[in-house]
Amino acid sequence: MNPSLTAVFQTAAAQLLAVFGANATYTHDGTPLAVQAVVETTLDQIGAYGERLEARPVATLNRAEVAEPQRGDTLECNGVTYTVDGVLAERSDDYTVVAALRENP
Amino acid sequence: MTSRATEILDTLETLFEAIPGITVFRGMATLALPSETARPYIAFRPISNAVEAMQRGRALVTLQVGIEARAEGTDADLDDMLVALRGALGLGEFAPFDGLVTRSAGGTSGVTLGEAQYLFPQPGEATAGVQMIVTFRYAEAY
Repeated sequence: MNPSLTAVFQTAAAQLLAVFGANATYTHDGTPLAVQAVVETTLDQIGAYGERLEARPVATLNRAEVAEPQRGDTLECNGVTYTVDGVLAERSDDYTVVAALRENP
Repeated sequence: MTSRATEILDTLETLFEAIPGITVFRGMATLALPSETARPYIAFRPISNAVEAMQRGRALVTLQVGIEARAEGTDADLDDMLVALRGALGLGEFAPFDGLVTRSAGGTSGVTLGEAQYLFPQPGEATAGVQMIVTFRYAEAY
């Protein structure tokens, strides 16, 4: 993609997260990083012979801040700490990355 | 008249409900399980019913039932569920479907357990599962 267009989309992603996201702390390998994150709950249907809607917390992050969330990293947002369970590749793009989370007990 | 298929499903429900600590959902109840459904649970429902052969008003019928068990946790938990399912279906001396199912002339068993598929959780998913299709053969008069 045209480098100037990439810069436009990167700026847009950062501005969207600044508006819709919240201040959060992303920790990888014990190193905390201040980020903007949108944490929300999605509903996914699971099961073939028993169909259940399962609520899952997910976080949208700016790739410029967290390029590739790793399983086991943590995210603290609005007083709640989550552990990253994996990246949802189908919901991510070049500018934002969506991670499935588990709320820490 | 209660169909033989309904009798088989009733028997399955009774057998699964006898497994300690399991919630059982059958038929229509499996279509929109509440999100807060207690786990572990077993859901099962008929998925097909076919006449294999017919002679003088008597039919040899195959009924396929889809069964899914879900638990939170490890592959060992899943395997425990599978053992409980197979145990409930009666693979040894215990034969709960005696009188309900028919062994075919070629020797095909009245109850055939399909291959079990393990379903490991996707990222963020709370439960792992095991699924299988069980085929029942029975004779019915029309």
